[in-house]
Amino acid sequence: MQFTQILTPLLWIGLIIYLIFSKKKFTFPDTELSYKSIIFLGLVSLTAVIVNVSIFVVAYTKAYRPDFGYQSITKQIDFHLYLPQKLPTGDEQVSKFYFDEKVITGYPKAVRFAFDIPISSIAKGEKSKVTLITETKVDPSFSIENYISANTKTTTPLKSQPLVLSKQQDSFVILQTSDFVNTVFVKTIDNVFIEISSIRESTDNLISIANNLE
Amino acid sequence: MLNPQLLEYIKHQLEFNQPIDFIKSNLTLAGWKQEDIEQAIKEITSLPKTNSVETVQSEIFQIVPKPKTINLLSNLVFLLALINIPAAFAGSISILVTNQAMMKGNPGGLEYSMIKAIPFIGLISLPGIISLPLLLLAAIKIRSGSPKAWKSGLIILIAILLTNLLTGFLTAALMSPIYSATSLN
Repeated sequence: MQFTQILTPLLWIGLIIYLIFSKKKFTFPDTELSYKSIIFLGLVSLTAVIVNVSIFVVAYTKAYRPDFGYQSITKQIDFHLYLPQKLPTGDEQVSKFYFDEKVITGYPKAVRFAFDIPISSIAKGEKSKVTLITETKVDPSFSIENYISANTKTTTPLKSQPLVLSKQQDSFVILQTSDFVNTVFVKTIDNVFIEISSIRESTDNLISIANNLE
Repeated sequence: MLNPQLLEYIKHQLEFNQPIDFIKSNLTLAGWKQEDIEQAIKEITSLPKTNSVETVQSEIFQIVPKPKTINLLSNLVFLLALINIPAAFAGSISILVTNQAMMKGNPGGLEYSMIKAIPFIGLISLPGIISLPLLLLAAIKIRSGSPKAWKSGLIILIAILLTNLLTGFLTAALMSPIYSATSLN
């Protein structure tokens, strides 16, 4: 790649110089382009345009009308997938719905998705504040406290406190905060375990997301 | 016996006030023998001048092979056109390669999401799409060996070189935010 990047401009400039010094050789009468040449040039142009336009149309369509895979994922699970009806200002979904086999031990069908500020804002220098939401169907005996104690391995001091959500009063909710990550754990009345965590998002916003799950 | 077409060619060139040395070198490059050229010039300069050259002009150019320089230049421009093919697909290649890099090891990744950060990425291909047929056109035209072909070839080469340099800078400027965004976050 580097070799081509250096060689091409050199060849180009050398050719221009060679052409300038060869001016005296160009004494022949001008001729019209042949039919074959016109067809050849037309085909080359058309191929370049068609290939580029096809790729751009597919890429731009997928970028601006993304398929988050909701229909596909809901066909593969046997629980209600809770979705936040209201997100923190400026946030949007930045991932598909996908299975993460390792995130909740013993529950390979845990569905995960993420929210964040738009990639265009990140490109402008704003800091990403990804919020991850993981959901899975659990047994009625599933205990959030046991899950937290079994899975939380950190040297950072953690604070846990129970919460009551205004819209999901029957859910069991724990807010866990630390200097590193904030998480809201929810076990709904229909035994769906939901973990909402973020490194940079405020606890108020995480609670707001949990409160707007439907 | 001297070739009558060689005689006509020299006559024509002399009528256009071309220097003898220039005519000699052109014919030598075209493959004519030195002694034939000298003899033909000697014969013509001893004859009275005529004005009927224009009618045989096209025939003469058809039988006089073009200097090797012209064919070489045409081939080199064609080579540049081949080298320039990736530039015609630079935008598409950038989109596909960046998307592949962003999707690798990212099961939840949204396809082509980087386009939202750099929506004009597709325009990177535009100079390449225009320059590819132009370079091929220059290669074909240069082969004709006319002064007009020389001029148009030179303009095309300079214009595309400048456009490519500008596109290179623009591509780097457009792609840097997404690279920094993906590496920092």
